[in-house]
Amino acid sequence: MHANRSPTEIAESAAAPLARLFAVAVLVVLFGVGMSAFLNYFKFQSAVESAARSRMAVPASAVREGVQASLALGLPLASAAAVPDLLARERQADAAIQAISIFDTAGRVRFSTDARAVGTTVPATWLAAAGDAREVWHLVAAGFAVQGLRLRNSFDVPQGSVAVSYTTADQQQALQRMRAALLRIALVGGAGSALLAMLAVWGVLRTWSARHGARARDDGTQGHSAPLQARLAGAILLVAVLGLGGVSWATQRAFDANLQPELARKAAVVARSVGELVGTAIHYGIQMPELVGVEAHLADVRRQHPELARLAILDTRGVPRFAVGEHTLEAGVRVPIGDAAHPLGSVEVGVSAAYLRSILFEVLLDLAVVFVVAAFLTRELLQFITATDPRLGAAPASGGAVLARMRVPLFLFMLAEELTRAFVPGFARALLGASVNVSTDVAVGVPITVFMLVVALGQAPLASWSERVGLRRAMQWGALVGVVGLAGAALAQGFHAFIAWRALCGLGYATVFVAAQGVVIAHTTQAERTRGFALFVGAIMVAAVCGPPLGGILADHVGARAGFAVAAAVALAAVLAVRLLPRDASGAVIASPRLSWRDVVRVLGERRFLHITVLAAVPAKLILASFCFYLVPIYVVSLGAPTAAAGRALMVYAAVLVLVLPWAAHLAERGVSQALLVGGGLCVSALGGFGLLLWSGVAPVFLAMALLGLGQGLSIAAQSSLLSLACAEEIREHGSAALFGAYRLIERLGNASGPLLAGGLVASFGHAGAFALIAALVLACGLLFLLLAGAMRGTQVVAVRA
Amino acid sequence: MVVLICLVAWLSPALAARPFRIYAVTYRGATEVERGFADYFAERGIPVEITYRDIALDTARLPALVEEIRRVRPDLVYTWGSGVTLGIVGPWDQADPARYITDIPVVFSLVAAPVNARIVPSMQSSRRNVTGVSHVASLAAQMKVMSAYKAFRCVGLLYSPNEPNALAVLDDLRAEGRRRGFTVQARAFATDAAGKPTPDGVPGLIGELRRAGAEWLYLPPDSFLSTQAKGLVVPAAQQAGLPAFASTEPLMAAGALAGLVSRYYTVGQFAGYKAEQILVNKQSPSRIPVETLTRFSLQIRLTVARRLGLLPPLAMFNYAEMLDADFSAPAKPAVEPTR
Repeated sequence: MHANRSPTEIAESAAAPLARLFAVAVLVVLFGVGMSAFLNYFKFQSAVESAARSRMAVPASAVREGVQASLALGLPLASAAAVPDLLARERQADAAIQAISIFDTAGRVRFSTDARAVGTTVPATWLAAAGDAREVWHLVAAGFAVQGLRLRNSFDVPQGSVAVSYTTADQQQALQRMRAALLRIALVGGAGSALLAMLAVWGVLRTWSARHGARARDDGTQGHSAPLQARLAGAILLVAVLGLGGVSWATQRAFDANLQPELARKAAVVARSVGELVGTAIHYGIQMPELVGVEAHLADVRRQHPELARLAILDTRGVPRFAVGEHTLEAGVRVPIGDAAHPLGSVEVGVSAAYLRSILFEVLLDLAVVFVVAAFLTRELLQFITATDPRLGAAPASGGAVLARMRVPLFLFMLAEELTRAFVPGFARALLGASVNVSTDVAVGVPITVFMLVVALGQAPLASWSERVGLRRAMQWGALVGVVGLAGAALAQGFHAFIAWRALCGLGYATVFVAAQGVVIAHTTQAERTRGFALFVGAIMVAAVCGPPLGGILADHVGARAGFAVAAAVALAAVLAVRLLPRDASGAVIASPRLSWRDVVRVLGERRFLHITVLAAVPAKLILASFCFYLVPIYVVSLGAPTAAAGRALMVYAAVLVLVLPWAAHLAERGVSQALLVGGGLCVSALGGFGLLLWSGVAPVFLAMALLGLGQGLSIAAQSSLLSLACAEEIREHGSAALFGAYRLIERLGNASGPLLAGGLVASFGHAGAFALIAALVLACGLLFLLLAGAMRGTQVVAVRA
Repeated sequence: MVVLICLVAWLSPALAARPFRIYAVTYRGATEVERGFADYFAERGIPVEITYRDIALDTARLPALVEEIRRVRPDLVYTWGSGVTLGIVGPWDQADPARYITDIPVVFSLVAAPVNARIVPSMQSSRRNVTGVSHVASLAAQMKVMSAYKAFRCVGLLYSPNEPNALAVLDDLRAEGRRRGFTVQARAFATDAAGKPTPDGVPGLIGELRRAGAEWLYLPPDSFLSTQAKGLVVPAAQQAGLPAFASTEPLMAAGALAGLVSRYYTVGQFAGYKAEQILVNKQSPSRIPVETLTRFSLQIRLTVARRLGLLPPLAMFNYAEMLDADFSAPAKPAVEPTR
């Protein structure tokens, strides 16, 4: 499969694949630099937006407190005389405020700093946003945003809302400045890293050929390209890290420069509100030195606004009387207490550098994910080049080269589907709307189940269809159907339409899957087949590592719809990549026998078959589908963590699986019993599910995913080997097709039922309960399997002796 | 049949417009509670016709009013305070239909402790034709505000040994102390031969509390205490340098340093809201929980604070209402105790 090359040949032909290797290097570093710029930009955007929101929350809550006080005094909302003054005063808090309004539960504006608005009705979107919220609501429109707080009377009955509408023009300007700065950084950083990457590739090839060429000439030994490939990958990734680091460093400075003014504005608003409070106390005849509990209040304010490093109250001579927080290097914002005629002192607020650092640290976490993805991408691309480039000795028509070519569209298509993993359930929930009832949890699982069901039931008929029309063509059509499904999902307006589009995605997925499988069978001999399937599974696994975290990042920053659109674009790239396959790819197809009902019934009569499928295969798929596709994305987001965190958790699963699979094969080779691997793996995979009952937060989800990856890695390969061992008689009499056909079908039905089961359990027992109950079920199956396997071994031994 | 349908169609707007008849029984004349109650219907545009009856502190007049209610058969009965309410509906476990109103919905207001007064078995449901509102903040909320003002490890309490209500508060306070980590020093008022509390020796009792380590004097909703607060208890506490915390508006008015009190007007509005659930939304009173307000006013007497050398912490200027201040500031918002 791998091109076995002598180093001399590589040295001589180094010039030839150089262009392609350069392309790989440039692609990888540009991906890294581009993602870094993208992530930093969106982090900046959310930091600017949240600074503005919390800034507007200060006058909004001041108005709410004042109005609710009037309500407590028994004044009806419509007749509180002090309210207009209060609104006018708070409007001065910030120049960006366009209007502060108070509207009742029917949406009628009762008071507003904009006189024309009084008596009109607020837009339906405002009313909807306010109605959905218990306390705070927020909405963004073109050019302005609204920060709202609900008003309640003294016995908690909603009376309406306070709405502070403010222009986002200044935010847009800040974003524009940041875009310009990032573009410069990305262009310079991208060009620089691309050059450096090419230089590194050239350098590696040169030193390699110098050293190994000489040695090969001396002793005539044959080398292997794998170490070279590792060196190339290392060099490219080193440059990618440098690029990521350099861009992040430069971004940090742009970040600082552009975010500081926004934070200073917020500091001024907070300082003003603290100043007003101190002013009130002083008006009551209390002297500044007499004030009690000032530090406690300042510390409280600082807790609410983590961007602020220091708050201090200064007397009329500028001497600090009270202060909390650490000194900042930059001068803070100073706001006077009292009016100009009677100054009472001032409030000084400094902005925290630690806050900026914490934002950038969050970006680093995402960048680490980008790096992992870049590493897998590099490996994938280099393998493709080594296996397909005739100058590197690969025969273009050979099976290995065809498989390497097939791997590209397969990887791209699977990546497209994996991109959506982390946000499909959340998107489904959003489409269902605010109506929260018991069935919502189940309904969210329906699109996932429909997808799985189409995949499970579609594979057999699609396999024979793809053999009829040709594998290359089938793969192209499948990918195209996937593009349409993903694009449709991106545009879906209703829940039912979304289910239909996901069903189409399932059809595309099943088609590409069986066609790629067909390519492996058609282009490998019996001896090469295991290795061929390893390549096939490898592409899917790499996609599973890279897709979910990238998709989560996309969903967080540009939304799930854009995430589907990107997935559709990647799937389109897969459609084009199918052209890499030679036209005669469908050449030597061995028509696989179709699975008939009679076969299924016969196979189901096998006790050992039932034992393995019902107690091992179905539970394994059940826990996989319910955890990875449903519970993790929904649960992580419900904790308030970003979708990217859900994606990272799914990545942990796939990454552990990738690492464990070869180790499990090694264990099997060393004679560890297959049944033990299957049963033990199943039990291990379930353990993490209980952790969610013990600990809260995201960490136990990561643990559960790692254990799931470990357990599945131990058991899945052993499962099919065990099946062929246990049902050797059936295989001898009828061949393995019916056996494995029925096995895969039942297993995939387990896959499809997972999300529905999870949804039902969430509705009754909550997220942690659902995790634990499914884990308990799977653990019970695993233990029972081990028990029966022991008994079965016993009877086997007895039978042999007899 | 057609005629009948036409008649119903013609009558129904008239039926809808017929005002609800409410029979209101008060203890000591109309208060802010009744104003809030009546204003609530006006504000919501619900037509009502309220008949007021006052017993002028004489509970002996209640049986005659029960008779009148039976005769008039109003849509709803409104009652003020524990005494009036018990006289109209009786204790929940001994509501004799011959003596009390059982077949007409009753909404009570201004009952400090509806469970202790045996008007309802639990706050969730009266299990009968009664619901209503209390005006006292939960003890937990009051203790939280007290410790926000000035942290304490020991609270003092004077109580009437003959008032079950006061004893119940003492138990609750001790339980709250175990939760929040403070001790309770309690002294009973001296009693006469008949077992009734007397004001004798109050300064001495307060001095005892102070010496025993009390850092606050908590003034619970206690009838005898209320009569003695202004003239005796609060001045004695101030003399001893012990800050007093009031649980009701009258106790606050007696000169306490601070208090978490409800506005009577709002209590009346809340009773109006409960009446609306019954009259307009046709809910059964037994399905409407008995509740207290979610927002109370924190009142602070700055002159007393100064005298005691206990100025309130800065944050309280955000939400407390300052009484007797040198400067009349705009109305201050209410406090939202955590329930």
